[in-house]
Amino acid sequence: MRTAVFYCKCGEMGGGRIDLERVARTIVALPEVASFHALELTCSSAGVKAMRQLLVDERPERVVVAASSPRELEPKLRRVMADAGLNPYLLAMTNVREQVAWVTADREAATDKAIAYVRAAVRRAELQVPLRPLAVETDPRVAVIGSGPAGLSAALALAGAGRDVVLVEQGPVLGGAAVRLDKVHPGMECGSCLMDPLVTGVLDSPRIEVLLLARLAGAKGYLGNFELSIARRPRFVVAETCIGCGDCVPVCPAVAPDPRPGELGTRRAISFAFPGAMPNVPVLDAQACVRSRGESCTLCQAACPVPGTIRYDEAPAVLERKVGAVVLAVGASLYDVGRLPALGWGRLPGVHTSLEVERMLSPDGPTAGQLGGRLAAPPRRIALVHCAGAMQAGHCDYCSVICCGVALKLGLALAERLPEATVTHVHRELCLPGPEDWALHERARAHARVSFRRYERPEALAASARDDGTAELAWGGRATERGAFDLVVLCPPLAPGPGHGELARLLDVGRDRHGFFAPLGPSTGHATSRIRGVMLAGTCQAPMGVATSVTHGAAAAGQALAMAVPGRTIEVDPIVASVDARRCSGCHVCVGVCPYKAIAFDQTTAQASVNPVLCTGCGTCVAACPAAAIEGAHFTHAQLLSEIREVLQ
Amino acid sequence: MSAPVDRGAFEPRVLGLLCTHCAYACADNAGATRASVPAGLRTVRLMCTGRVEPSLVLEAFVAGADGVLIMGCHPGGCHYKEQNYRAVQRQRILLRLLDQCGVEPARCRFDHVSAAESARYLELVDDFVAALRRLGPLRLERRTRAHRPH
Repeated sequence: MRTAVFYCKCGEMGGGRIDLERVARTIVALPEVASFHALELTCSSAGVKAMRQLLVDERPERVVVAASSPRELEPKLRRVMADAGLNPYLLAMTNVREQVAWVTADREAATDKAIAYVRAAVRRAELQVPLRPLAVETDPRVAVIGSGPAGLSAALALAGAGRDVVLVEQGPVLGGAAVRLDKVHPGMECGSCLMDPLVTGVLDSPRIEVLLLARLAGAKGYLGNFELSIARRPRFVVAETCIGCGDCVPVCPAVAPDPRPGELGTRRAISFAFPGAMPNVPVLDAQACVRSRGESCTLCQAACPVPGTIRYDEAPAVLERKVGAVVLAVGASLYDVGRLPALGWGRLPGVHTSLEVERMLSPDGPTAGQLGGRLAAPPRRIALVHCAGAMQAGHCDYCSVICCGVALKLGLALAERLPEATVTHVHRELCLPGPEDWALHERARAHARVSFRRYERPEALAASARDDGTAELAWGGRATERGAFDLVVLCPPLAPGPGHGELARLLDVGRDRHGFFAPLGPSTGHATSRIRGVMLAGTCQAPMGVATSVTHGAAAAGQALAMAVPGRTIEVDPIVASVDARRCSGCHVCVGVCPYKAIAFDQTTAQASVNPVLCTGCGTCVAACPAAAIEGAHFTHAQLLSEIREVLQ
Repeated sequence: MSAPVDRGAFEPRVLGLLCTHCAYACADNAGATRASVPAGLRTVRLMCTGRVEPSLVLEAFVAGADGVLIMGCHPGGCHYKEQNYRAVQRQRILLRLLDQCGVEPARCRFDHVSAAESARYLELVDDFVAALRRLGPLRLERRTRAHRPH
């Protein structure tokens, strides 16, 4: 083996103590070593140039560089190798600066150690083999799951960049939770006014395929090559021919309480999601329809002016779509206050959630903007309970950032709507991020009929019925306080939605300890999951407001654009694991330890195989395989063993 | 910097198996502070502590190590999701195996350091080396075996 050794003098600078003469003498004497070059600074442009020229001139079979940390320098030197026409993985690096010269006081000991490290690299290099990055074609299409502010924003940004987008929404209309809000704090725009440009932009875009009443049912593949199965429920109304006249709705005989959270009214089996919902096409709820009970009602079909638009025979469908990347933007739910029975929701008529009040205040809500719901009369004494389930072990052990703003907004709206009413904020820590939230808080503080009472112990919060039909709310500050209220508004935090677990399983996206999708890093990579090619956007990743969600959606779109580029192949690092089929006993151990679903198991051959695109090269399966059938490229058993033995000499 | 080396004293030979993302980066940062690291520590860089198979540790003892120090990212900080947990699980079994092989389990330690904890890294190394000094050199009959791979 002809090995060229490059020894960088950077360790000698900055106070290092290594006897370069002795290192050179010892290393040159090794039978594998054909040349030894002491360079002034390998990392400098002059050093790189000199090294490249020597590589071209000498054409060594292996290259060893003893310098500073490979963490910084190795990628650069691999490029130098490639430039000189050598396979980059025939380079072995060792760090004689930070790991030897700078940390060893005794010159003899430092020199011995440097020799051991360089010799180990020489022996390791001998065992290294040429590796080539795998080039993978990428599909430029992107799937966006969820059509709230984050999903719409992502879809629009992707379509704007010329990408074809599949937008998958589980509901019958676009816009997510935000479109149903009366006012969006802190800007106080009406929810649908805010969302309409995004919704119409998506509906008008020829590049965006909108799949409604649809959910992700299966996912295979990896960055650049995902195969998604999307299950679509029937709408029973053909969107292409429906003119949105609504003649089918009033004739429907099936009237039942609206099952959706926050909606307090009733709804017919065929109905619009809400007035002004887009697309402006009703949906037939098959379970609520009297036909599900065997009746042969066709009233809606008869009322429809466009024949063939209402079709009772529409069947569920499974659609297959191929995409290069996925943006998860499925939103969050409000924490279920039913899990806080002491607060009286569902038990006391005066207790409502913030979303229920929000919908009552909305002109297109179930009460057309009037405070009705379970209330007998307009309330005069109103309490808003902040943090209902937030910052509380066993419920949501975090602050959900936006709910204080929501509570302040609702408090002011109620005080302005009801000139006789007093509003009491029963709060814990007030979370007022940003100048607008603070301004909102100042407005509430300045309002003559709005007051603030602080509680400290969430477990002491309790609501009970009074003889006059009002609710008595007790809260614990320094002492326990009580008040009688006609309306108690519980403001719960945002919590992971019920579908998060299934989506996490399908795409193998990790979740944090609260159940939100885990980002790549806590501070960097917030719009990216730990699975390459799967982006995260909006409140499915962490609680955030509408404005941040829109920005987050654009960020996720940007990541998707950068990852799967049309016409560009993805170069996959060849430092991956591979299974030797002759030795694999089919025990499945590797499949279980791989956190990236990179190992597939073929039932017919009863053997495991590694998908190099998904493999990140951590080597855990290599260590776990009881048959030593898996090898980790560039960190093979033989290479590591050789390195270990040599450094210990 | 540090006191002159007492050449008569037992200087344990220690193998450090360090994950590149946290522990090796931490060792680099310790080096940048020009701290003193025992000359007997010899580090090998891995992508992840999840790669550490028991045979690597056993062979290190055969090849002359008096101790093996495996260091990875903090719990929750693994760059490969949770592979450092797998390494911790494997370590428990490895210690029992070492005992059966006649190697004191105290000669093999697993610990977590972040890239920013160079002071802690130095403490962990010094503490381990001190413990090995107390244990003395590892006496292993099988050490007579040839070490060169071929």
